Amino acid sequence: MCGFIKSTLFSIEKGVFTANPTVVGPLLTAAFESSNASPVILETIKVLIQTVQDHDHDAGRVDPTDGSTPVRLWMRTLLAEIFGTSVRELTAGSLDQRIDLVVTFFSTISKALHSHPWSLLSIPEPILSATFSQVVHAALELQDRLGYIAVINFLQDWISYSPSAVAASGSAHRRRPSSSSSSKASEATEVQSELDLAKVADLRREENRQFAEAVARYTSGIGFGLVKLLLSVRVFRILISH
Amino acid sequence: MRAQGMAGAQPSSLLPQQTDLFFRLSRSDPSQFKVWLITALAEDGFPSSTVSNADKDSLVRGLVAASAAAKGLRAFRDSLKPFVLRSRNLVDTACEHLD
Repeated sequence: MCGFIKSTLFSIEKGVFTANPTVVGPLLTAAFESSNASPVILETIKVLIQTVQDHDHDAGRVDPTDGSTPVRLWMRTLLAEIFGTSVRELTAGSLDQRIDLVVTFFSTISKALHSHPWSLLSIPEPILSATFSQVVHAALELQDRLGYIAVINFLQDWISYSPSAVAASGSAHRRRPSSSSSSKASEATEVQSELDLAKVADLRREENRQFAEAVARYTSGIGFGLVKLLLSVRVFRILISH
Repeated sequence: MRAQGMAGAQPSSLLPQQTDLFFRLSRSDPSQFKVWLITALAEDGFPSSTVSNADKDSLVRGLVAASAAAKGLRAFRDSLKPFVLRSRNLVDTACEHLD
């Protein structure tokens, strides 16, 4: 079933069987929790995270006060639930016995950082802190090569993350080709279209600026705080230790 | 703590990933990097009894300089390698010449 959902999410042409993220998301998170955090379900959620775009359903509806949009808020809820369940499962026993979950979990949050940075960084800080203080530190002590590389790759992504890069990728994401031009359009309509496009471009620029500011605010508040936590002496000692 | 880390029993094939992570850490907050490094290495006998305080000082100086250098990652690797070899007690062995 998960394979089928993934294939429909990846398909460019939406069909009758294409999974609706707002319906599938809660179902997958519920299944993820009830199945003791199955990596297969988490893998499907990862695909869902990658395929849902910031501009879906709500283009231009960015809240100037905090940069939120309905999609970003929805994604934040989804990510928070995944974090909560994964951290609970990973801290319940030895990480060595859940390597598959470790690998999928870190790969998923890396994708979330690239696709939905606002949603990831605005997850309640206690949940993020628990992830870093418990799961990341423990994963850095893994003997298993795959699990160890997964956490190292995630940390590289996390540390390299910068608000400006996100703002640039965000603007690229939101750029849409104009499909309104028609061969029969009159000159007046074309001029009007150009004016409209310029107006839309202005709105997009403003939206991108607000988005960049919001991301910068979150990174300076929560994200960089966590990076500092991550860069604690403990991580250094684990990395170099004997 | 189990035998771990780049200065310990972890496979040397993981060294590139670990070095890259270290390098990114150094670039993320250069002003704090030296402090973190000195604090992490402060304990006597850490990470290995074969490493002296002079080796640690040399490592800190090398990494701080390398993180600011243009070809930082390469310089970073070059600074880290002698320290890793010494802490694994592999100086003057065939492993010294392996990349």
